[in-house]
Amino acid sequence: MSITIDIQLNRSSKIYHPGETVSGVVVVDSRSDTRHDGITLTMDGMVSIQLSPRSAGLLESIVSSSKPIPLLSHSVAIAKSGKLPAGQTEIPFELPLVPRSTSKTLYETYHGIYITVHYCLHCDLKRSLLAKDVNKSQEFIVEYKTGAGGKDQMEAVNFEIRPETLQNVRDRARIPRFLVRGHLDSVNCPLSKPLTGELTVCECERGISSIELQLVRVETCGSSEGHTKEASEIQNIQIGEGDVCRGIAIPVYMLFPRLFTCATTLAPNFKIEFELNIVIIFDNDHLVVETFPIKLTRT
Amino acid sequence: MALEWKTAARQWGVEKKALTALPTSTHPLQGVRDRSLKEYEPSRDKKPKTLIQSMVMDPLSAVLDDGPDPLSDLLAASDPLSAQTYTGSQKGLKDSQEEEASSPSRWHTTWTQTQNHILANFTTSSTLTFMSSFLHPSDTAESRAVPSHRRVVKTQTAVPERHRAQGMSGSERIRARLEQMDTLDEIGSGVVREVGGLTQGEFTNRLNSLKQEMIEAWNSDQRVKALKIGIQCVKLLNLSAPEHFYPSKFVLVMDILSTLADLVYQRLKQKALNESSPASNASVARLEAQETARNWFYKVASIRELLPRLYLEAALLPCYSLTDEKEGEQALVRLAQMTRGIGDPLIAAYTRMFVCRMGVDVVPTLTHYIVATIEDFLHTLTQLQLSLAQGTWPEGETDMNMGEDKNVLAARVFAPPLQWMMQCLAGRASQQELQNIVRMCEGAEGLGQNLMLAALLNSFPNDFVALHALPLTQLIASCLYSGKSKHELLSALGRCVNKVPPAQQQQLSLLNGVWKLITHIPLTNDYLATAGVWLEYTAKHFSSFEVNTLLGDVLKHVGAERTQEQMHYSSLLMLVSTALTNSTDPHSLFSMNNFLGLLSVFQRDSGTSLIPALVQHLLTFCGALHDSINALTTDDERRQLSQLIISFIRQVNFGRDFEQQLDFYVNARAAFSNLDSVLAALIQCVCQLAVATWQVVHGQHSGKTAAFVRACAAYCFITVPSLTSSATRLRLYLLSGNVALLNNCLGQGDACMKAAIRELLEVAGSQDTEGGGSVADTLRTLTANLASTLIATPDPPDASPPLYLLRGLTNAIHSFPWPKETDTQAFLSITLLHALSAACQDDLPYHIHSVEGNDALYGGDPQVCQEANSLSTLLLQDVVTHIQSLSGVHEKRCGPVALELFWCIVTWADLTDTHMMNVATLMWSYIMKFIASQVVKQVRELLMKQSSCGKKGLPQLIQHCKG
Repeated sequence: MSITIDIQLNRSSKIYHPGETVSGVVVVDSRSDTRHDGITLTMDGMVSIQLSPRSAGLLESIVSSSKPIPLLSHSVAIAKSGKLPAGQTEIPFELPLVPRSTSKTLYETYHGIYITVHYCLHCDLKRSLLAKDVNKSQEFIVEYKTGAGGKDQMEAVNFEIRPETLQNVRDRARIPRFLVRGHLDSVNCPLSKPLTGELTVCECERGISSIELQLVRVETCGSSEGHTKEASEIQNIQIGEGDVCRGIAIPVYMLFPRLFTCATTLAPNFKIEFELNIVIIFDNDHLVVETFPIKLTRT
Repeated sequence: MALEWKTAARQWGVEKKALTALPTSTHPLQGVRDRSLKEYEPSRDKKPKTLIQSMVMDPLSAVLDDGPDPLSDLLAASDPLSAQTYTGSQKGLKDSQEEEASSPSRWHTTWTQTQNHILANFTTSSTLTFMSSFLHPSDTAESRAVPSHRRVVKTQTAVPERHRAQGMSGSERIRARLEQMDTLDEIGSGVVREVGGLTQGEFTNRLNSLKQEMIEAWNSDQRVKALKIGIQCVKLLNLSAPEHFYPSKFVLVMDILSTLADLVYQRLKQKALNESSPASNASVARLEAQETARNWFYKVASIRELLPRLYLEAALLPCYSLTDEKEGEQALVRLAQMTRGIGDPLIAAYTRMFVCRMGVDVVPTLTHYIVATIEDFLHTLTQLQLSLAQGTWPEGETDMNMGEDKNVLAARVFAPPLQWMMQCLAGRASQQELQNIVRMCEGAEGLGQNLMLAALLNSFPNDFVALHALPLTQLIASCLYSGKSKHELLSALGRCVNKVPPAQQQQLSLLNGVWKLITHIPLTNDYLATAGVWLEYTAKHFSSFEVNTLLGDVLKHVGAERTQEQMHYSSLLMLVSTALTNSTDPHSLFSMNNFLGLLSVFQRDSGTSLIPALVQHLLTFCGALHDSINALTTDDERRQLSQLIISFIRQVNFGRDFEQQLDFYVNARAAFSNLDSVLAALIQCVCQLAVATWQVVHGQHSGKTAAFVRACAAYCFITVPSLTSSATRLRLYLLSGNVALLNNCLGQGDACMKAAIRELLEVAGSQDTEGGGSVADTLRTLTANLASTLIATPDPPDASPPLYLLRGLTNAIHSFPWPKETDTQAFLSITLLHALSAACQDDLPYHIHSVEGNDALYGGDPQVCQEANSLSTLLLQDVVTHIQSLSGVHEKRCGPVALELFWCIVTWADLTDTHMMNVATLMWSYIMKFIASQVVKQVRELLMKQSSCGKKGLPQLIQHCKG
């Protein structure tokens, strides 16, 4: 007498925007007639913040990590206690995707290292004392509506990397002479579009072994009473392999990964920001990094 | 029982019955078939076989007995061609349904050609290294069997993922990241095995087994694993050394990639179509498929390394047809640009080739990205030349590249990608774009220009090349790079202008410009090859005079190294045939001293030039062919050579100059004495010549023509004995005897006939049948042929008893020791009985034109009749004794012989004579005994028909037969 529950959303992409209605069906599959004490469906949304043990101290990190901030919580009983017939039973549901209180906003789904914004549907089938309850949860993704962030200026950013432009160099004499010019089409990047630009190695004394684009997230946790800021890599894309031809424009092109990015978020007690590093690695394994803060949007 | 032959006199006029033609409305074969079927159907079960055995049965219907008529068979069966087109169109329909965005299959075939070309040309003997986490344990075990000095097995354990950002500065992090990257794609499988010291074959096998594994993984729903295998394979392309194997490696990996891409594409396609079984869900399924496609794109776009990402993105380009074609186009252009990021020029070049290859399939109309790609390619080559000069390219050590000159190597390995890109461009780009390419070519230098020129000449449309022939020639002249050598370029240009000629006014200046370059080609072999191509051009568009000049130059080159002439025989021969086949006026060629000079290279010893020279030279060539025969030549080769020579001989025709023709035949006989079939053909030709002479003079020879035909007869008579096959000799003696008699050369005719009679016994003695039928059959036809000729042949003047030749033939057959187990002698004797009976008639049944027969010579002399009867009696005795001697198992053989003899008697013998009547009744008893009843019935019916001609004694015989 096994029972399985499945939550099927009406969108295969599972992407919903704030203010919309999340709808779908709960499918209960049971071999025989089953009694139950009611089926409830709960929609949860929460931000969990974990402080980095390195910057905030071990104790504090454990204490504050354990407190996720709820953003949203709705619960409905979709079936009263009674009997389920054998076979598949489909129970349709609809839940509005609105914050718990007007003061709260629904942030975009985000899975980071220290910060996670997570939305979930739980379905519980309560059974009599002797039998186990049956649970099922299903994550869904919240994204801002496109165009919600307002129009940002698409403005090309030119850059030039020379030995002279480098900061924190210990021994300038050991740096080979080189000049890399290029531009990014914009640092306000819509998440659905790739990051584009161009890069030209005008001259370089040493051989180059690789040119890479590194997408980095910068997560800031905490509020006024001291915060921690941590940067970590999301993805690394190689755009130049080997000793690239001089004087030829190499396209800079990177798609933003769907899972590990979200629109740049500035909340009262946490911040999610992104940076782009252009890394040039020479054939002696020395490398040069140029960093660009970028703002991700849903436009 | 006393046997005596008595010939009855025949009355030709009475017996002659005119045959009348009747129109028919049915197909003869069809009718036979219907009838036979009708007849046989009921009796099929009983005894159908006896019918087939009957002698007088229609042979056609006998053949048809086994199956239906072949003609109607063909009609009834469905036409194979139409069936093929039907299935073809069906298949085509299916194909087009399956892949909407498919490009013309022409491109696939050229691609396959390119692939095969690469695989065949780029091989290596040095060892290779293979790195993959998907190697089977057995693989490594196998490699352990490799001698230890060649084997390297390294095992790397995946770097455990350190907690990100744990006490690391930015640069440290990136370093750690880099280390991890190498193993990123193997996460899960954990171990990367590197196997070194592989030979090319082992390497290929390993790749193939990976491909197999990939397909298996895919089929067992491990799609990520399949993708990982694909990525690892592309990573193999990251290592350019050894350079001369790289192209083959590329093709091998490409094969795996395209398999993977196809799997992905087919699955998406299915998703979009199949899962939409309820019609309402069609759009939903399509959306789902699009979502899956996008997932694939995201997955591939996040591959860290440039090369695998590029290759896989390109391989997945066809999937854009499911989402957004426009997007696909943009992606294609972007990918073409992204190849700029690849530093190694070789790897970059092949990546470009791959992108263009996919691009041609996905967006066949787009060309500008190819132009841009070619531009980039040229740009990278300039950097390559720097490293060539510094000696940093190729990366592989010199021994790895088998000591090939690095410049040549560079030209060789870089040519296929450029060639392919140009080919893609040539088929679809506008004239304007092609012209831009030419301009780029002018602007390029060194290796780039060299390669560009070669690719341009080889792949661009011929009319375009022809239009720009002059500037291209200048480019070739100014291109100073040791990659593709000049002669290759010039040959390529030549081939183009051979197909499409340039404008009239440019033709001469082009030839001048080119020939200036050709004369300076250092190696004679290259020189000859190039000269051959341009000779065709010259021969096509200029007069023999220019051809002569060119040939003069060729002779100067070859003549410089006289001793090595032999080495260039084949190419020189090619030159001759090119000149001959393409020349507008081949005859005038032979008046050119340089052409003759070229020919004399082959003649070596023969300095005399006969008239007309053409035939003489061809005769020389055929002579060379003939001389090439030795003890080791197979029969088949001999046959082929004979065929060639015979067809040449038959081609030669001097018109009315018969003496010249005979002269030629004499020469030919001298030249081809080793080939029997050629000699036989020559004899036939001479006979033909004699008959042609006879036709010209309308049978009335003048002194001169008589002498000529006698010469012909003599030619035949002395040529025939040198043949080895006695049957052929007999046949040819007969033929030439006939022709001699026709031409009133009685002496020669008699000689031939005598020789033929001798030859007959030779044939009987040997087992030679010229390869067709049994000896007995050959003998029967030839004897009948000979005997019927002898009927009309007049006796020689000095023959004392008449029927000189026929007597000779009779004696020959009578006295030859025939083997007892055959009926040959009996049949031959019966044949002769016919002939003798005909020959002793007062009026011969036929005459040779303008030759007096024996009937005129003897004027009804009873001596003739007596002689004939006595000879016939002899033969009759032979036959009857033969029949009577047959007993036991051989008894059955009496039947056919008796039937033959019976007919002979009915036709010729005097039935009033009791002896003859006795023999006839005796034969009839044999017939009744041994011949099938149906045939006996038919014989009886035929006899009844004969009775109408009023032959004496026949009614009695019929009476007897009925009784």
